[in-house]
Amino acid sequence: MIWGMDVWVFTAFILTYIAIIFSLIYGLWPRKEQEEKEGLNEGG
Amino acid sequence: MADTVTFVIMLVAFSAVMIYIGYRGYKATKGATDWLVAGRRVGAWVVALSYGATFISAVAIIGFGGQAQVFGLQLLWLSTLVIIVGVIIAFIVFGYRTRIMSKTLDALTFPELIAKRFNSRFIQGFGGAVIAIFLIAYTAAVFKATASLVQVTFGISYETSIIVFTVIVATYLLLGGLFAVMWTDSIQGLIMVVGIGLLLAMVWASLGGVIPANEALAALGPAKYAPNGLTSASSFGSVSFMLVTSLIFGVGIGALAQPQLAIRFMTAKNDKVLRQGVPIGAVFMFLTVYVAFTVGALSNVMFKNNGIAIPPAPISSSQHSLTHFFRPGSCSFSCLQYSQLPCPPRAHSST
Repeated sequence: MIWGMDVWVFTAFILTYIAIIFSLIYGLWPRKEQEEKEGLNEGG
Repeated sequence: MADTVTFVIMLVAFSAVMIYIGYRGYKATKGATDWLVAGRRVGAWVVALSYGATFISAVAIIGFGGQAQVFGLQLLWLSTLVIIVGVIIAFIVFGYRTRIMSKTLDALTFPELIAKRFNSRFIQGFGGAVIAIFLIAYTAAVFKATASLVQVTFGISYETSIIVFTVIVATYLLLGGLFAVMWTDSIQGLIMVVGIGLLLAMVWASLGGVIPANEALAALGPAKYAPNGLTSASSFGSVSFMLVTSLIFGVGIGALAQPQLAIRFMTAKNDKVLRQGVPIGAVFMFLTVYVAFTVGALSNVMFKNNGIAIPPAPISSSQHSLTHFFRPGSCSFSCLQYSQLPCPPRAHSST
C-alpha cells in the first residue's frame, strides 16, 4: 500500500498529476514557431 | 422547504443568465458560420471549458461518481485516461487537424467535415443519422440525471424538472446557437469546478486528509465490485475487473469519437487557442472527474462514519448514491458541514 492505495491505483493517481504537469508545460511554454506555422497553415 | 425555495431562486437567476447569454449570442449571430461554429473565433478559456463541460456532463459526475462508490478508487484510472486521452491527445493529435481541415473545407458540422474530406454524401447522411439517433439517447440520460438530482435533493417532481430544464436549454440554444452554447457551457463548467472542488476539500477535511481518508476507505475491506478492497485494483480476469476496464476504456477512449466534442475544435480562433486550451481542459477535468471519483469512493467512509446504511451494490441504482451525497438537506451533507453529528440510517429512493 502506498498512501493507502495499492500500486495500480497509486499509478493512476501519480499519472494524473504527471499529465497535469505536462499539459501546463505544453500549453504555457512560449513557442514562437507555433505561431509562424499557424500562419502558413491559414494562408494555405 | 427552505432548500426548495433557495433552489427555485437560484434556478431563476441561473435561467436569467443563461437566456441573457442566449440573447447575446443571437445578436452576435449573422449567418450559418456563427450559428454552427460560433464564427470560428472562440478563445482558449471558452473552448476548453466548453469542451470540458460537454465532456463531463451529469453522466460523468453523478453517474460515474456513483460507480466510484461501488468500484472504489480503481476508477481513478478513468480520470487519468480522460485527462491523457480525452484532453491531451484529443487536443494535440486531433484538435489542430480538425480545426484546420474544417476551415479549409468550409465545413460547419462534423458530418459535413467527414463528407468533404472523403468526398462522400453517404457518410454525411449516415453520420448525421447516427448522431441524431444516439445523441438523443445521450441527451435523455443527461436530462434524466439532472432531473433525478433535483427530485432527490429538493423534492420537485421529475416531470417538472425535465420540462423546466428542457425549456431553459432550448431557449438559449435556439436564440444564440453555438455562441450561446459554448458561453453557457463555460459558466456551468466554472460552477461545477467551484462546487465539486469545495466538496472534495470538505470530505478530505472531514476525514483528516488524503492518506487517512484512503486508509479509512481501505479499512472497509472488500466490496461486491471491489473484491480486493476499495483502494485496490480488481484481480485480472474477475467480473469487477471486466466491468471497470469496460467503463475505463469505453469512456476514456470513446471521447475521441464524440462529435459534440470535435465541433469545439472547429470553433477555435487559431492553433494557439487550442494549445492554451490543453492545460485549461486538463485542470478542469482534474477538478471535476478526479474529484467526483474520489468523493464517490470516499462516500463509503462518510456513510459509515455517520451511521448511514451504505447503499446496495446493484449498479443500476448506484448512480443515485452521489445524488444523495450532494443533497444539501441530507444527513451526509449535513454531517459534512457540522462533522461528527450522528445521523440515523436513511432509506434510498430508487427512481
